[in-house]
Amino acid sequence: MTQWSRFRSWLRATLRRSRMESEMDAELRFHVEAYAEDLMRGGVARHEAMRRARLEFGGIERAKEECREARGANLVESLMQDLKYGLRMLRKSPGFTAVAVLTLALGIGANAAIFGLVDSAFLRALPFREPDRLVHVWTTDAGGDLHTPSPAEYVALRKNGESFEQIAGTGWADNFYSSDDSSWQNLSGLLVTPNWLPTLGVQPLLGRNFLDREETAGQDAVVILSYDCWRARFHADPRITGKQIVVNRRTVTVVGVLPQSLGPFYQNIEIFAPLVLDSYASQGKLRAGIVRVQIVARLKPGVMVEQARSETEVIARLRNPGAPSDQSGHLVVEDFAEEFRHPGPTGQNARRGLWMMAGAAGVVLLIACANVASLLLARGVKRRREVAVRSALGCSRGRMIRQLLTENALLFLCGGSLGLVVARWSEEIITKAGSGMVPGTYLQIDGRVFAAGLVVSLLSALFFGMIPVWHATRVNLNDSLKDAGPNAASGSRSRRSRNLLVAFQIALGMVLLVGFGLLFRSLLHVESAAMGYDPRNVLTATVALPTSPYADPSARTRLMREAIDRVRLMTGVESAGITDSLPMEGADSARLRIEVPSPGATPMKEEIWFLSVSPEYFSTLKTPMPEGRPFRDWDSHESSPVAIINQTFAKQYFPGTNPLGYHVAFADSPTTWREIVGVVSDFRQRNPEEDLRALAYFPLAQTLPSGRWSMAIRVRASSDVANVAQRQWIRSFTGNWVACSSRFRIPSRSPCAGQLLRCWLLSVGWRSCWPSSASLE
Amino acid sequence: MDKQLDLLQGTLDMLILKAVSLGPLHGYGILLRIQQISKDRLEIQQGSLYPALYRLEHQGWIASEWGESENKRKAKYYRLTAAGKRKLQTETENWNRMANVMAGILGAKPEEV
Repeated sequence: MTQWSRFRSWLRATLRRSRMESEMDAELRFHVEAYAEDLMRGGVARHEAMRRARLEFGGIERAKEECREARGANLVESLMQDLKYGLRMLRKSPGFTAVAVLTLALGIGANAAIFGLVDSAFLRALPFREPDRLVHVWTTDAGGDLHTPSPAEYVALRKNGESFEQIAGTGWADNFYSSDDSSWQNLSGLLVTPNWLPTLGVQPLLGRNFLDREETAGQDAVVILSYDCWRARFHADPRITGKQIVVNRRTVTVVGVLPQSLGPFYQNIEIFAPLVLDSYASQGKLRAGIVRVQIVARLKPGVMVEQARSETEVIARLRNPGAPSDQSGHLVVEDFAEEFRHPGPTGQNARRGLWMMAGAAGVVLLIACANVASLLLARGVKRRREVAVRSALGCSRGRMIRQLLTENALLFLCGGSLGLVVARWSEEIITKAGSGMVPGTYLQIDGRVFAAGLVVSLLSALFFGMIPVWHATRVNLNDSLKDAGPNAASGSRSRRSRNLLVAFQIALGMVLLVGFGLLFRSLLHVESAAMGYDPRNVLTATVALPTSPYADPSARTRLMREAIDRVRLMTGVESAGITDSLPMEGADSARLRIEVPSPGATPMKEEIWFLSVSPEYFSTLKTPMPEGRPFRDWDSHESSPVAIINQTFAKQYFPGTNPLGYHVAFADSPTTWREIVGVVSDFRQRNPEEDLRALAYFPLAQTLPSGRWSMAIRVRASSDVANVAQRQWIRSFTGNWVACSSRFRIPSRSPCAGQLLRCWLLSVGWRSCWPSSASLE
Repeated sequence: MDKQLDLLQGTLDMLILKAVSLGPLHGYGILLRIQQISKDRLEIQQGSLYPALYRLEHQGWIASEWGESENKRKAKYYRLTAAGKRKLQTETENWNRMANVMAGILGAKPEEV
């Protein structure tokens, strides 16, 4: 209570300065005049009375000053004075100021940036309304594994689900987008029911959500853009809504833009369109078999997940009453938020990496601050005389501390603002590097990051700025004033703190150096790790076919054959191969039955990543093949089924045995055994930092090729790259209906961005140690 | 008349609180009242009275408002707040205890030790 009234009285004194002044004036005048009147009543002449009254009152101005002091009215004024003086002092030694500000900018900027990344990854609450009420619904297969449900299951749940307030469905879609009608880009997209955003409880950043009627065929020519898509492809056009763009050769209207906060949850998805369930379900067996609808639902208030579980259990049983013993067809309700809070091992690794970086940034800041503190200490020695003179003139130590601390805080704030400005400029690079480590993280210098920068600046100013101030104001007047030289009196105490600070910096620097060395080694390791393929002079193109003219798998196969033949005839092209997933793109997975080397044993069932490739794929990528043979043109639909496995597969499932001649089969067609005819060397299919995993390859001609596939093209010399990359060629053989991915090279480095960022940070930290040599003298 | 005593450090606040506890007063009135009840035995620097008043008001122990003086002039009147009343009470108790202790010590005779 008293604190509050004190604050109010201070505020009044500060804000109503002139009123307080005039009141004070009136009050003191009244006193003097009342006294004078009393004296006059005692017979003193008026003039003489006033003179005596003033005399006995003492210095009126001094009394006023003390009154102001009592109210704290001078606080702001003296702060302004200190700031002005501080600025003057900083300007007077530009070299010192520049070094200190730059050092601090590095430290504080790095920390603000890392804070932004960490904030976007873990600290920010999920961007959904009441995320605890959100659930995912999965279906199960015969083995009890979770899968995305079928459209029929979605419809059944939506019709009968009583525990849910909203049930939304999403499906995947390729979008062929053309900005100028000459080249097409394949943007991944999500088809969503109009109740998807309301279910999540998310408002579009711009524009509106889909309307209910837009879920019907013919009225669905509308899209919502992701934040990244809007930024990158439409230059963050604030008037984008209502504009028309061409997607899938159809003119559609942009009705909204999603907020950036959804980015981490729907990575790489650029275009959201209404899910028209009937036409989506009838798309048929395009890729790995069945069309799927991912279900996200919002529980009714007060409904527990267990209740919803038992209800979906009933719905599922009503759907397949015949097979109670089988594990398949159950609907399983899973906590939505839980999946984001507890990611798999890769996610956890990435998170650990980010936290480690945050730690490194903290160390960098400590070094930077210690650095500046020792510079300030060194300067404090030079200003000893100034401090001594001022305290001899009656300046109290508290007042002096306040002034010097203000000066230092000014320095730290300058550094902090510069750091924030630099971080703002490099938002995109840092976002890129950060999302390379933990997908979906981003840096945006917003209020939170700004506040973090400010708090870091002020706290470090308070702590590290205080050390030199403490020493500077511990002055022995006599000695300091007598000493002639400005450097003569570097007291042993302040020398000791400087030594401590320098030792502190060197120790931290060593920690960083060792960390940097280790990281650099692992970076080299990743860079030089046998990639398993040679990415130089390889171009890639991703093609996606529409369903209609190429619905028949054999028509698609024929088209691929034709494409390869044409590309191979182009000048500069050495070879070309086709795959359904390029390196670094991941792959489909399926349950495989794997023959066990010991006779009579039952086959193992394992979830394995698999790819469909053309015969020339491995030779195009120059992937070594230690055992067996590559696929041949005669491995066709009619001939006996074959497979190729990678070395990890061979090591895991055929230890000590030659796997050639053994068989694998898809669990859903268990009698079609495919003979292993070759073993290729390992390469990482998704991410250069991940562990090796078992992979199986099948000939394109023997699996159902999907509508989307990629071509890897090896050219003879890097000078041929530009020629071949002319995208015209690919239109020529498909009657205009293809899309090329925008990327025309296999990435060999970009996924290491996270590593590079860490190395950069550490090197910054190490470099920021150097100014400390200045204070070593 | 006895020789005037200089104020002990920190006692001015107590005197002011006591003076205004007897009824609202303006600054000059407080001075007069202290002189009156001390029977002119205390010397108060007039200039130091106002910083003390401002400080006490800042602490919330006294409150002020403008009113009219005996000779029809505008004057600022101070009165004791509830917090000030409590403060005065504890200060008085402290003072009495201290005075007793001091008196006991200073009055000690050699045979009592």
